[in-house]
Amino acid sequence: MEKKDMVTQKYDEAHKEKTKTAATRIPTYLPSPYYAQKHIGKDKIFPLISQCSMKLWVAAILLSFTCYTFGDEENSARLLASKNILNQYLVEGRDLTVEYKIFNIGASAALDVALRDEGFPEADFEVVRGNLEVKWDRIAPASNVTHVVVVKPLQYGYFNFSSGVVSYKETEGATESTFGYTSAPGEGGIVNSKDFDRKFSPHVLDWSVFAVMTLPSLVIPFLLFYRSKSRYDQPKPKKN
Amino acid sequence: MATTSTMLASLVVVLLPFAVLGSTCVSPDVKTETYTTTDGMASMDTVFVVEFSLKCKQRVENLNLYADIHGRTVPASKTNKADSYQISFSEEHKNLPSGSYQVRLYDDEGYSALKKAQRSGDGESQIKPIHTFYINHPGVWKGPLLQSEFVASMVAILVWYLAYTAKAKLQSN
Repeated sequence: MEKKDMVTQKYDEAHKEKTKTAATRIPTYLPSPYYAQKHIGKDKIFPLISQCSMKLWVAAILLSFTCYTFGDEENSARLLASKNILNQYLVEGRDLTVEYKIFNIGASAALDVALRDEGFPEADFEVVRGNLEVKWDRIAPASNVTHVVVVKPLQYGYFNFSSGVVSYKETEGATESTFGYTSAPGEGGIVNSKDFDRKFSPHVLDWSVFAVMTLPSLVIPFLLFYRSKSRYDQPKPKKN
Repeated sequence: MATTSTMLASLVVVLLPFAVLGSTCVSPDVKTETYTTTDGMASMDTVFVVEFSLKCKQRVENLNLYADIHGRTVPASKTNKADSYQISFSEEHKNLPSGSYQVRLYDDEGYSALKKAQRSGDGESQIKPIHTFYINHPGVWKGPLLQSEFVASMVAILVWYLAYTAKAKLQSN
């Protein structure tokens, strides 16, 4: 019963993660837990300006206040990183695609960006293509990079997909790297390949075996019928 | 004093072309290994992963590479092996049908020239990539067109129909 559940269970977490916005998805490593919210607040000010120009000065003060509080972060890079599993079903022995996306939401380029994921132990996963440790020299502001690794699960069962580690330098002169984590896709059920095939394979072999087995019960009566038919049908052409 | 300064100047003149050449990659030797998604049943997006090693004729320090695939430019990531890079590209299944995809590699200079050309809207083809190769994508297989159960039941109905018409014909005679 449990196995059957695993087959039917779609990998919902991955779907959910995909639909969420980047900002709400990866707040774990941001220095200020309210960073994302503050940014939303800043955006809300703009419709306020157009709505009531009478109170423009209020908006101006608010805007300058937000600018002031963000003064120290204005010239540094800020990275948001996500890790997603691009599979509907996780199947033992079949390719599993892991996608990492790094967004730079800061004002300057992030330098010496390194992404490392130690969440795929060699005993459970085989890397088909891609690297679990990559580097970019710079990620420009307001841009993103995508990285894909294809792995193959060697065992079935539940597996906790943890997050990868991102390190980068915020500014040109930064001596220390900033560390952060990608989002974690969470726990996912890796389906036994036999169970998956039972449900999704075309069963060509099974059906051909079935056809061969039903053949005697169809062919023997048909041959008997055909013999007697050809015996008794003989006079018919003589009539004409 | 005068001789040393002229010597220095001539040295600079002699070495300058090498220094300029040093920043660009001349006649690169590229080896690629590609992966494309073929299993459309289990995966949601089509991905291209290209791992390649690039060796230039001369030693080039800190080479940044960009790949232009399917009208999009993506930066190549460096791996922990020397001179080896990875390009990752993902799109929805329907946006990446089967076929051959051209990948053009640019270095920093080529990339900025390409950006400039894209902004002005012309001359994009004039920018020469440092290397071009192709990804052959066989397409994703989303399972059989007809369910095997359907085919089997159709065959069963056909056999029954033939038998039934034969019987009806006999009885009518």
